[in-house]
Amino acid sequence: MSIKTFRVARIVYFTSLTSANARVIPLGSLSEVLLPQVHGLALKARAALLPEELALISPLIRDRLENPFDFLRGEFDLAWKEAAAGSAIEFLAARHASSLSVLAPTDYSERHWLLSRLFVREDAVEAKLSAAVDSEFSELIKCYGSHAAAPRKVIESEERAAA
Amino acid sequence: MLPNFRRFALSTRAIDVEWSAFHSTNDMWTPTGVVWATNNGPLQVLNTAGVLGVQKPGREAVTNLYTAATEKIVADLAQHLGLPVPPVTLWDRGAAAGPPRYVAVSAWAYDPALTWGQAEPGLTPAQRASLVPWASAMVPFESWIAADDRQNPGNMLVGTDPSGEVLGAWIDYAFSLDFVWKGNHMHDCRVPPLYPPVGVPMADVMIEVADRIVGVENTTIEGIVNRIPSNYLPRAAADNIIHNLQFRRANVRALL
Repeated sequence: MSIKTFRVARIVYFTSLTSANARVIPLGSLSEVLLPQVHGLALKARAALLPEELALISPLIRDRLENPFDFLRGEFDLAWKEAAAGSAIEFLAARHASSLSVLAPTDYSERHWLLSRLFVREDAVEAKLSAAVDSEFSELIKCYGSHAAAPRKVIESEERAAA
Repeated sequence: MLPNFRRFALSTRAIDVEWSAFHSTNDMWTPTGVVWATNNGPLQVLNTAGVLGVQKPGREAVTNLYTAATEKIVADLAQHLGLPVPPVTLWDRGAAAGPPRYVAVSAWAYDPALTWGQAEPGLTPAQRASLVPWASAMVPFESWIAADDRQNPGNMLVGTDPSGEVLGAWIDYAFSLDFVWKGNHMHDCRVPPLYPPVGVPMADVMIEVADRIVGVENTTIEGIVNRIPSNYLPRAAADNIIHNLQFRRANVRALL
């Protein structure tokens, strides 16, 4: 039996790792689907941070996070190229577990429709990936109360050899 | 004379001595909901004093059943030697909490902290070179405890102090000690490559740390290992760790 998954994850910057009351800066979200015939990955991220947010980021990575989407797009491309199908979020989470974290993925709440289809077109998968990454991004921004003007999104999908 | 390698975040310095002096502080910890996806599924936890830590393991079915004890012993040995491994305390989550019951909570070394893989592209050559004594100091220590899995750019954290000086901390020792020495085998020591590869290892630093390791008393090793309750570390594994740590001290120095 083929493994079918549809998961989402959040990308955040902890301005303090030791203080519970410190600000958490939301950066973006990921969604990944693995079906017998299709694999897809999506990223949605902020294209800029507020000056007061940038000031709270370590000088060792501040320049690279001025545009979180640009930074994370590079990571997204690496994961798409190097990670096994269905493991791209874990690949990124293993690379980013510190002040800058890709948190552990969770099952997408609306996954059942897609996972229960026998056949699904690639464009339908991309639409579902897009909706999932939008939903997770929206929840992330709501959770941490930031202003996220003009976020950007990228989606990749590929057909897989019949399982 | 080695520099002070334990220049952790102020809140971590505040708990360093207490956490390192006892197997557990008996704090009650609460998960915050933040979960990472690295080995052992670590969780962010918070105690009643407002201290955030990282629970390891965060899930059941981990590769090393004695993960908590292993992290604790390594952290306590590092503290005794003045090396940059953040303090760890043990936490019995209680029978009602479900597995894993016996866990460790590690303090964060720096605030903020980036993994080596994240920090490296942002380091100047001078900042990179300033980490050579730190990484050199860890070579004999990691040889002593058999930390053979140092190929991951996430096993070292980089922080900065207010002057901009970069500071290092070495983490994630679940796959050392008894995990390597299982079966009561006596393994040879070897000198691992500098991790991370920041430059040419400093012989004088490595030799000074190796001398400190040779000078660790049997009673200190026994005290650090034997205070771990048997729920975290069975007697046979504890004896194996003590035996190997005592036997390997001189070998580490001889290698250098």
